[in-house]
Amino acid sequence: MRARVLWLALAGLGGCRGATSGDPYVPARDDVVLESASRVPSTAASPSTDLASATTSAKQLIAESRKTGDPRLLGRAQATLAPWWELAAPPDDVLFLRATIRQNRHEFSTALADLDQLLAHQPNEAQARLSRAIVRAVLAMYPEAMADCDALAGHSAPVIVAVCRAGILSVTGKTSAAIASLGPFVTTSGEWQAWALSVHGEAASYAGQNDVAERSWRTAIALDPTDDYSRAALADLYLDTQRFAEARALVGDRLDNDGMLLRVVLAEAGGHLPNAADHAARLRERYAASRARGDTVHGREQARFALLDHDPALALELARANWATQHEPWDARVLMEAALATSQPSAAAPALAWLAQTGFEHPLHRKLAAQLNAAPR
Amino acid sequence: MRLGRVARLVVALAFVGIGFANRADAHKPSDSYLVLRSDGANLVGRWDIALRDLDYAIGLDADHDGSIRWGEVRAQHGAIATYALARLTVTRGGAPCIAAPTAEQRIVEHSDGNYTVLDFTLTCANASTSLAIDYRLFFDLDAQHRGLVRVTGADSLLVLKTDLRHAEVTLVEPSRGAQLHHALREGTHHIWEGIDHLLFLLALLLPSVLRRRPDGWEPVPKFSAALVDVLKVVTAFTLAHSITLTLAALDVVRLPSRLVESAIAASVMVAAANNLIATSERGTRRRWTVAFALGLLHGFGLSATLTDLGLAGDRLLVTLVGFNLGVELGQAVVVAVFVPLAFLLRRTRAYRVLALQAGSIVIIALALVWLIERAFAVRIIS
Repeated sequence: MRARVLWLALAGLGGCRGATSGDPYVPARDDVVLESASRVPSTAASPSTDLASATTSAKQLIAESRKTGDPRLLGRAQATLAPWWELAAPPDDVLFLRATIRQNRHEFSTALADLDQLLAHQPNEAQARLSRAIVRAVLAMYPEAMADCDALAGHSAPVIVAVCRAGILSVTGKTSAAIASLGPFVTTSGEWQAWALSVHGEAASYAGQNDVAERSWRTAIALDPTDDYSRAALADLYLDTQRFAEARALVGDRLDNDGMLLRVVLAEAGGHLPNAADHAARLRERYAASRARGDTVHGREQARFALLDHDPALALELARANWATQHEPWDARVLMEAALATSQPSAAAPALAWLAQTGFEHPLHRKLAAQLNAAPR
Repeated sequence: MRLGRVARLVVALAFVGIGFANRADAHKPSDSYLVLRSDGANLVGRWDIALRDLDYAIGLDADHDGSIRWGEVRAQHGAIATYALARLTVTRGGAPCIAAPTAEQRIVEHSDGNYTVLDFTLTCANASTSLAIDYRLFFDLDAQHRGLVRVTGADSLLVLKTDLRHAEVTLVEPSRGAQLHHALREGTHHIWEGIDHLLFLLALLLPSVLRRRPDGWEPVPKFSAALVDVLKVVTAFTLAHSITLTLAALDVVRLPSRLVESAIAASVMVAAANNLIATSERGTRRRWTVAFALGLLHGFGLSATLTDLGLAGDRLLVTLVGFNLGVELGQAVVVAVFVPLAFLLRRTRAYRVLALQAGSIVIIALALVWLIERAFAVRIIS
């Protein structure tokens, strides 16, 4: 036992010497692995002006980006489309890819314009229509989004139409209808089951049915362990119900992913779990780097972290900027929380307006709204 | 029209990308970090470029085994420098500066992986304070790449992107005072992180509060005796490492870092072993010679950071003096904490047995591990 303690002490002490992460160094040996090589071949040697090969490369990069969650690949995809990117009316293939890339960067207005143009040429293009339904919902254009979902009927599998509609129903105060409409699809195995379960979980959580939400999300994750969306949503549910250890366990060692790292930090802080300070420092550094380069994609998550990090002023600034680009339940929530934290209830006016417009039912949102309305101005 | 397989992929992306709520991205978009520093009429640059980006641009995985290894990166040093520097233009007072990479190549870790550190000099025709930077690295391959440029002496960070490739900066030379202060802090910071340097010194200082007798150790009666001994050892160590630090910084003497680091580990072993095998008082009184002789090695080890601080031209003295002072200050703090404590405890058996003997054994063991790690380039506890 004593030897073990001694060894640990030695390791602790010995580990101190050496380059601190962030200091330049010369690797010890030639065979030390520094990075993994790119899986998608570069077009650097022969940049293409041929539409077909450019769109193929772009699709490859986008698919890889989806698999790994790496935004770098979207920048590369955009570069392969460079000859057409700035055109007001590029070929339809490019339009759709451009819309997809813009969506991913949360440039929803320009993505919407692209999808509008594409669907004007090709009204039966189901992928584009589903994308537009999603983008319209993010921009709180609910009747229009629902119209897109309805237009899918007859062109697409019933499950797709149902999930499309359910997503909109659940944020406009009709969670029971949403849950009911998804009923048959969450139990039918198939390529869309995980997606249906994800949205089903969401609808249930908005209705305050946490057990149902948890079951649906757990099943979704079991079906598809790469489903970060369900994983993050479930982690948030655990965080809201003070189940910090479970939230931490759910994320595991996915610390390279900023969204997951945020949940790790929130879980460790809430549950007083080990490594809290270290992980928070790491996240803070990453967010600072993101702001330094001028990115605003993570506004919502950064606002959530700023609230934890005792910087409510920054949280409000981020939440406001975030609300300018997207209006989803979490965006409203973080704006309300930041307004309360800075004692500026009027700052939450847009979120309250959104609540009134949608009839959104989540108990937590209702509670925040009540607090804001009761707060002295 | 049924959604086909590719469609499903894209739909899933759209869904997963934002779905009915947003998924946070993993990793980070592409950035490079460029720091430019003025050095008389010339400029010194350090450019951190992501290995992933370089691999995409020019290919780094020579043996196609899916991994980019140090040997492969090293072999491409020239190609990397040529590629990058061809995509950066710096003009000073309207005249373009000529870039030349240094031979040294290093790696640095940023939050999204390993980057190559490209150190280079820019030879300019004049010493004007107005700089213009034209940056075009990777924009043709990654439309979201950003160049984060910092010019020391100009406060703000420049963010260069595909639709903003040009920036103009007015140089403000930091005052000598500011530079001295900066170097001082670096020196202090560096010695406090240099556990091997500190342990070397502490190993030599452990017997300062004791006197060696043929049959063992006994406590020194007066503080002044201990103090004199401490001063001898510390001064010898300080003098020695200051000399070699200066020689290394001025590039008068250049030793391979692996050799130096291994020798430093060995020196720590010697210093600690000395406490165990010393049998005569004369031997212990000569510890300052050991401090001097082996301290020479430590100066080489400490010089590694100096290159990044600015060592050319008229600022050399300021940086060197500042850094050295910082090291001595940091060292003085450690000594000032240790010596009174040791003096107070010198009469206890615990000090003679645990601190001096067991402590020296522990230091030897640790230094031995370091020696093996550094000599054979392995990681055991680091």
